[in-house]
Amino acid sequence: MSRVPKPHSFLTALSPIDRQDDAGGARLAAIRAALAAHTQYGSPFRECPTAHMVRMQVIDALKPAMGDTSGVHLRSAWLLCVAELDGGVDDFLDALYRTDPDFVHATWGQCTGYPPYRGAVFLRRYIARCRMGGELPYAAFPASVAQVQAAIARKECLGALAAATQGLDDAAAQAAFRAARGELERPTATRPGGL
Amino acid sequence: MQQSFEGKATPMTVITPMRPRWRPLVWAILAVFRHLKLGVVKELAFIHFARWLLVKRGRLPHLSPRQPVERLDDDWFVFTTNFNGPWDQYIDAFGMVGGVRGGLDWLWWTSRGFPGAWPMRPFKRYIRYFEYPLDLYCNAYPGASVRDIACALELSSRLDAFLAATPPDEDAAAFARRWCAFLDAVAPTLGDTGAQLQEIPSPHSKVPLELRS
Repeated sequence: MSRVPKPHSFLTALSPIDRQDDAGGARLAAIRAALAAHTQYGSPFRECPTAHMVRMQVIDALKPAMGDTSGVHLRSAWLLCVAELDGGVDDFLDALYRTDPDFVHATWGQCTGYPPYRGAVFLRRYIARCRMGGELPYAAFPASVAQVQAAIARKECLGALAAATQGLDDAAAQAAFRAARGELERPTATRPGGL
Repeated sequence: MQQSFEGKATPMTVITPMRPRWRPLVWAILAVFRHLKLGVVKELAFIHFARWLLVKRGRLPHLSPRQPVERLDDDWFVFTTNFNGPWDQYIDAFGMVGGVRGGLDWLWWTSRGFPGAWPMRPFKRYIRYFEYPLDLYCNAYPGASVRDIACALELSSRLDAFLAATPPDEDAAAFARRWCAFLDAVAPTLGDTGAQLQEIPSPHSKVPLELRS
């Protein structure tokens, strides 16, 4: 996989959702409600330091080929989770469970086959059963989330410093640089999603 | 209803049906693509992450005896991407850049009804039709495009070199000369990050008339 830098891993998981459950499809509605209750900036994925990008979507009807009128339909709905990560998938799942176990139980916990127990280990084992492999992945850059955020923070800091030193005499420019040097070397950590 | 997401990266999920008889060819195409450098896509620098995935119709997870077995005619060919810019521009780049178009023709050639990545209108209609709405999306750096990140990473290494070459007791005039030279050199990488992208309505609507509700 020469196009995918080493630190990245890719998760694609398809989890079945029972349409004919005892509650008349309430599980599907509950999952949709749990996903709808989280905004882009309020999702538990923001607290997972190894997650570049994560998406979740419910696939409850498959689109047939154009012109196909055979009426083939899905018997289960499916919860698709696609994530681009640093390091291993299990670390991401552990972080997610630690951040918001209620979100996990409100989504994957409602899917078919999820064990009725609490604990990150059950999420890991469940996602391992749902995971789809053999993908062709592409990543644009070889950096981790922390590296990207630090690089962007340094760029912003340097840009601000360049503007602030414009027109200053040599000694004042050097003093401004010295004052900002610590932040240039070690920028303040930014929460994922904050830049 | 597709939820709208803020930031410079836009997610898209496309799932197209594919006849199972094409599996060996798809595996071969994916295997070949795994060894290509995709230099054109890297140069265009508008895709953060993407993946293609073949889901066999009989290999969907079956996790409970109570779970009904899916009886599907087709496999799923799944394409997910996180790209910069409006949907129309992204699909335009797919269709209008020769190197990208050729690759997509190979990858989607086995999908049922694929019209080819050129001309644009049937291609856009095809992608729009097989696109699935997202329910939740999270991006660790929503204000940054691929180019922003590439610039920031390049700047970071050059800044490290400058900091290493700057002693604490340097003469102010000498510092000022090096500082100006450094800023001149890195100026192209100092663009703002974080501005939200405004989608510009396109004259050729991204939702074809026949697919509008």
